[in-house]
Amino acid sequence: MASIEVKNLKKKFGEVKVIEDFSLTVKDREFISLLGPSGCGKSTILRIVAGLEELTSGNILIGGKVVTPLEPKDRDIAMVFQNYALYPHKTIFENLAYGLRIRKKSETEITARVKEVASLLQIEQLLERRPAQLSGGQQQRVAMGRAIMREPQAFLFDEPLSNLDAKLRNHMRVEIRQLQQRLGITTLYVTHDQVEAMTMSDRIVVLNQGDIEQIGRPLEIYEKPASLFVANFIGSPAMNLIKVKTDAGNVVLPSGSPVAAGRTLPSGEITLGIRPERIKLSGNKGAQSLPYRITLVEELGSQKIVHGNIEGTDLTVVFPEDTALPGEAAFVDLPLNYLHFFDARSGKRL
Amino acid sequence: MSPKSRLYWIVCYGILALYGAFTLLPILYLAVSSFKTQQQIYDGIAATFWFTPTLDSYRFIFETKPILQMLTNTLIVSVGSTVFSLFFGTIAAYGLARYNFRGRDDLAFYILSIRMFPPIVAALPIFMIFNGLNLLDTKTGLIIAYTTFNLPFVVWMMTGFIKAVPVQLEEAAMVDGQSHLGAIWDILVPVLRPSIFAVAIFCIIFSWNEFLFALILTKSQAKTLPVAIPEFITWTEVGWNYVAAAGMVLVAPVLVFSFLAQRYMVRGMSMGAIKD
Ligand SMILES: Nc1ncnc2c1ncn2[C@@H]1O[C@H](COP(=O)(O)OP(=O)(O)OP(=O)(O)O)[C@@H](O)[C@H]1O
Ligand SMILES: [Mg+2]
Repeated sequence: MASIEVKNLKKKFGEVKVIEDFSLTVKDREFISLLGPSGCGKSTILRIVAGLEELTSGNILIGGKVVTPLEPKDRDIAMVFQNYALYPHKTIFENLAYGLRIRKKSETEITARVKEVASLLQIEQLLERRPAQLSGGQQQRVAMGRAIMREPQAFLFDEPLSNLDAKLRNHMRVEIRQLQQRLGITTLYVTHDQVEAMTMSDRIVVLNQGDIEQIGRPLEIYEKPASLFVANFIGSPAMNLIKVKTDAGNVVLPSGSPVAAGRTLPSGEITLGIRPERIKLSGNKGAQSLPYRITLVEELGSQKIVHGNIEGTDLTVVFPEDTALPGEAAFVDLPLNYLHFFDARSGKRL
Repeated sequence: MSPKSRLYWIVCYGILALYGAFTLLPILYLAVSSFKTQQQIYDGIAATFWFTPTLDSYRFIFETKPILQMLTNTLIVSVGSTVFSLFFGTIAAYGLARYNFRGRDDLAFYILSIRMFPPIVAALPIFMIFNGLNLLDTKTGLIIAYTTFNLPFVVWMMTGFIKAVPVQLEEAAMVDGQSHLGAIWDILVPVLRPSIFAVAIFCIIFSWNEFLFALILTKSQAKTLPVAIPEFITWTEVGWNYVAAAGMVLVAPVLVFSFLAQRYMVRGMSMGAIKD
């Protein structure tokens, strides 16, 4: 078990800069997700940590030891790939055993360890088959098994669940997290699925075009997004973001209606953010209420997603399923302590 | 899906039968002719398949020419050039398939274009170079010449096959503790085995049948069988039965071999269906 440190990582593909200046420490036994949209450089960072890709400059440390010049084989890490990359010509047993065979372990030791790992992942009955004879979920388990066979210093995952159907994905999410906690292996996990990142991680790194937008615990990132990008990326349905102007302690909606900000804000163009699930929607007009016109309701069973607008400004609201929606005369309240403000130009949180 | 009509199958098999006849009849005719005397060859159509077979033609060709030596030459040259082409070709293909470098696609096309080159154009310069290097009438020389023509084919085919194998397989092996070369040897080569086998068969057959270079570059020592066959047609007689017998000696091993190997050839050529 060990920490992973990435120091001032820079990566160019030819002339194209993909990673500008990336630093991160994954503490011993910690589970960190790299979360970001497609093409932001998540896989590139992971592959550099694994030693599969060369870096342009910077340093990688695993367990306090500089591994930058080392080949993947000398880094003592395990990796699970999106397509699992099981060896198609080997049986599941041999797929699991391969790492130990390279290390010239004895046959009895190998058999014992394969049995142990297979029973941990409940794949004992598959050992004689070949990868093509397994379902996607089973292949995923074998890939996991292969990763833990050697008890490596660290796990690296590159979107391991994205080829599974939604139900299996939810299931494997829990299973991977439990396994990681039980074994206490330091983990760097790449995903573009915010639910995976939110539910599995100790900390999340939100990436945007190779730059870190925010590092934090899942709830921290949800409650205090550091930038417009994070605010927009985390949460479903996405946070409502409204371009507003400031005016003496108030913000002014595009329609001209003022909304109490509860704090002083710099003057000029800013963006107001509020999560759909934090908005109070009712039929009663309170002191701070704004008139709301409902245009569409999506029923999810557990809740309703209400689309509508305040005097022309679009606003999405999540509404509990067990309460009746207000009719024509609807009002929304935007609770002060759930308002987020961002500089409209830099995108930074205010 | 509705069952195919009777007519569909009749047409299908009709076409297949025609095609089979088109490709197999010449070989059958060759085989039949090799068991005839010179006189019987010229007997009428009716006598094509009705005659008293004789082994005289075979006896004659083995007595007048070093058929066995030429057959051995053919085998050595074919296998030799195939081994070299596969070894160097697969390495080159790996580079083209796995690395992205400037001018890669141009290089790949240039390599293929060597194969499109009419061999006769290259024959004269190769003859002069070999003359200078004392490679004329040597098996080494022929192996080199055939390798230049098999290599582009191997590179082109293997590049496609390697591209179809996810690079993550090798990467997984490297993370598992294997070196890059070790990963290629342990994982990629076994996965590619059917394809390598299929490409090898094509190379062997090309060299086995090659005529032009063998004619120009060999005289006696390194002479291969295809070159000897037309020598039975001389100013004084046209020995079709001898041509047929020598042809049979050349074709028979290939026929047997192809028949045994066809399963692998089909599998190898339809590779790339790795589940990912
Ligand atoms: N070998 C390469 N050569 C050139 N550019 C590359 C190479 N690999 C990746 N890139 C570029 O680097 C950027 C980051 O790629 P990367 O694969 O790390 O993204 P990602 O965040 O993993 O995306 P995804 O979620 O789609 O997997 C992309 O713009 C990609 O086009
Ligand atoms: Mg990726």
